Amino acid sequence: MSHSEENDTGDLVRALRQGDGTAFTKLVQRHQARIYNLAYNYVKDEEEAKDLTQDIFITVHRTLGSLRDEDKFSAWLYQLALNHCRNRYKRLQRRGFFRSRSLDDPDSPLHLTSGETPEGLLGQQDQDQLVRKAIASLSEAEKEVILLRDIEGMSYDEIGTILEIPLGTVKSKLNRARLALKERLEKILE
Amino acid sequence: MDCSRISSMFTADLDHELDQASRSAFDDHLGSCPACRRQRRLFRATVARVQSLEPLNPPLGILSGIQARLEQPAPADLFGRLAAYWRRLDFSVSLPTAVATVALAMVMAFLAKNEVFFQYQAAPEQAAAVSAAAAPGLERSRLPLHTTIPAAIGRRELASQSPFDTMPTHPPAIRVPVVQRPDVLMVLHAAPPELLSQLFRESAAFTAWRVDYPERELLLVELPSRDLAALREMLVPYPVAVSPVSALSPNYAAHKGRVRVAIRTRLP
Repeated sequence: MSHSEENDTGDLVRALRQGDGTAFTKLVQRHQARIYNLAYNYVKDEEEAKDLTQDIFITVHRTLGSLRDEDKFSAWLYQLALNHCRNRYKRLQRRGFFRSRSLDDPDSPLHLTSGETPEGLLGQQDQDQLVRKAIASLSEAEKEVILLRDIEGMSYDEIGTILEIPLGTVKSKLNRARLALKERLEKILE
Repeated sequence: MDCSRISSMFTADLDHELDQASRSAFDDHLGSCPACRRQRRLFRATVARVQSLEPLNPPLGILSGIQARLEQPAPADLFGRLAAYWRRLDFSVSLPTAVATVALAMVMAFLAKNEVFFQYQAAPEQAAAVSAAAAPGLERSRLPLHTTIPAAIGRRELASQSPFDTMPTHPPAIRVPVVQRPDVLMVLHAAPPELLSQLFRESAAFTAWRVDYPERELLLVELPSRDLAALREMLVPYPVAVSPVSALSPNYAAHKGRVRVAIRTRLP
């Protein structure tokens, strides 16, 4: 997020704290697409992602008082969003929600048998779905660092702040996560 | 430089963050290693593919759904407020189930703490009967468990023979005074008859343990409390009842240092 966007967001948060009822609507409208994408890539399900996005913004509304610095709203929002995503992911996992959705699920219409290549077989959207599916199948730590860096385009400093880990750890985790993702995507990258 | 070291540098390579010496070693290795060249190409393609993902459009109704949920009146009664708080915590069990579980756990903890389920100490009249029953020839294993254990332990006071006289022919561990009252009782169900003698032999590896094997069906061990987990590990394949159940806790008797354990087998 650019500095001017961050400043605008800070102004909206200040306005909301001063009782401006429209500020919250503007905050949601500004951030909902990013938060929805983060949630979708985390759990890989539209309904769950929509519900998660709503839960996240309701928590924002109720706990905004705990935010110390309005200009750090984005980092706070992502921390809160990732906490929600982790909890929901664990709950869904306990219920067996992902059991039939693994990348190698033979019933999946996107499954590639060995020897098949994706060119001519899958369209761009299907390939995107495969990539998202591969991301969703990573471990939580791997997934989060990939989402923040390669999807959200955040700097290493921002990621370190959100995940509360040192810069060097961010880089090493990112490298490991990308290597793990590469292993899953070799079929469609070759 | 080996191939795993090279793959750990792929992100730094992509970000142009390798220093001159590392860059030189990295390039030299790639020049001579086709496998690493292929891995680097796939790595870069992976990152490019992920970064090129089109953002999804969020479905309609997110904002209106949030507003509708925020406008719901807060529940007035205590249970309603608790239920709303529970829903926000996002747990997968209902509030009544959780309350019932906690209540049940508290009752079980109370009963266990007071050893309602696990008393095995003989009452005075039973002890008298057991002392009489300790005469040679009586099959004590047919007595109820809560009387046979003190009986088996108390027998040492009556018997003139050495505690090791009835042992199988394996080398004895350190000879120790007989344990009169154990802190922990473990009863093994469906264990083979030779299990205790095997356990006796294996316990020789633990130099801090003091072991007595007075009967075919009874093993007495005095050991540091931190070793309780190791003892339980040795019994893992067999169903075992432990009394008190708090002995299953990693911190059990940590303040006492040493614990006396009686292990009893019951043949099926």
